[in-house]
Amino acid sequence: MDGRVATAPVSLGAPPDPVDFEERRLIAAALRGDQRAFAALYRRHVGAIYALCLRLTGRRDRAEDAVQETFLAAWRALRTFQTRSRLRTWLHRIAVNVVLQAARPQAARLELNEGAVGPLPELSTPDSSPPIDVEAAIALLPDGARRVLVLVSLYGYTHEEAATVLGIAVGTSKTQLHRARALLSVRLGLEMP
Amino acid sequence: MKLDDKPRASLEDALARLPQEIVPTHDLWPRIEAALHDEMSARPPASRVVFGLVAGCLLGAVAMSVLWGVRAPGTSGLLARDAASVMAARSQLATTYRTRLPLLDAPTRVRVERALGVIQAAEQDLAQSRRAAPDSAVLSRLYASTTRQEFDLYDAIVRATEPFVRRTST
Repeated sequence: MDGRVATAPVSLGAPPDPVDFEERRLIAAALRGDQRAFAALYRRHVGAIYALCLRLTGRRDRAEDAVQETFLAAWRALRTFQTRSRLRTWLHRIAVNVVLQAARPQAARLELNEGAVGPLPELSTPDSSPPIDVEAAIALLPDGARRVLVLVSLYGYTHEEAATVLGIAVGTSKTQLHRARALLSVRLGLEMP
Repeated sequence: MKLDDKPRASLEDALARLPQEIVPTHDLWPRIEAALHDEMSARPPASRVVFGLVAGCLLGAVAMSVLWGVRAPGTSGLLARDAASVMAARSQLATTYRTRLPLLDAPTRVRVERALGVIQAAEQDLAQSRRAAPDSAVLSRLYASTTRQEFDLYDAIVRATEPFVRRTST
């Protein structure tokens, strides 16, 4: 019997993500008060956070304000950041809260106006008009319908999660999503002839 | 396919094609930086905060010593022994890792060394931050998970290059 030592084929699986560690360094530096490190974190995530805020608010000026508030809140609360979650996920949660807090004064009115399924607003476009951008069509949705669509259809929230975050009933969330999809389909010319 | 499946599918496609990120039309950082600057200048001086923290810790320590008297015996000895054994195990693993590294093919070795470099740089940075703020829970967690990643990397390489005995019938 011959025993020879050989080397097993190397399979490392997924290597550690260097981006993650670079982010840790930036977080550590920001915790020391280094604003340049925080600026670097901002640059990494501003695109995703701005997209979320723009879609939730439907307005560029409000989205910009929300982004500013989100990063200021993040700077203040960086010490409470739980490393179990990713920074982007954490920023995402802050952004949703910021947008909803800014809209809170209108919340009751929105719930009254949009909670029940009413007739769809006139959104259909004539066949001769140019195709409508999906982002623009989302921005034109009523606030309540847009928020549910953004959270559930774009960012993967369950209806239960969306209802909790938005402070509405689960049934309302479902109704709003149905309404948003119907409005979007009409707006984008996706309805069956 | 039901009649209303087609528009739903098309809508889902349209939504799925939306980008994850949208670049703002202008740079928002200057506004944020200005607001941060305003906040920082409105804060009490750091020396006063540090003095308050130190005073608070001292008060807490005095209160604890009055309430509990002498600390439970032997705890620090146990902790020190645990830490020493972890460090010894890690050091041994790191040594094995270094002897096994040449067994990897060149591109993998480069990838591994690059990843380890990033991890160790993060570790050093975090250690430096912890010296400045030893009570920071976030820094402690980040440091612990980073050292764990380093340990895991050594472990993965050592396991992947584990020699085995090939038996032949001749």
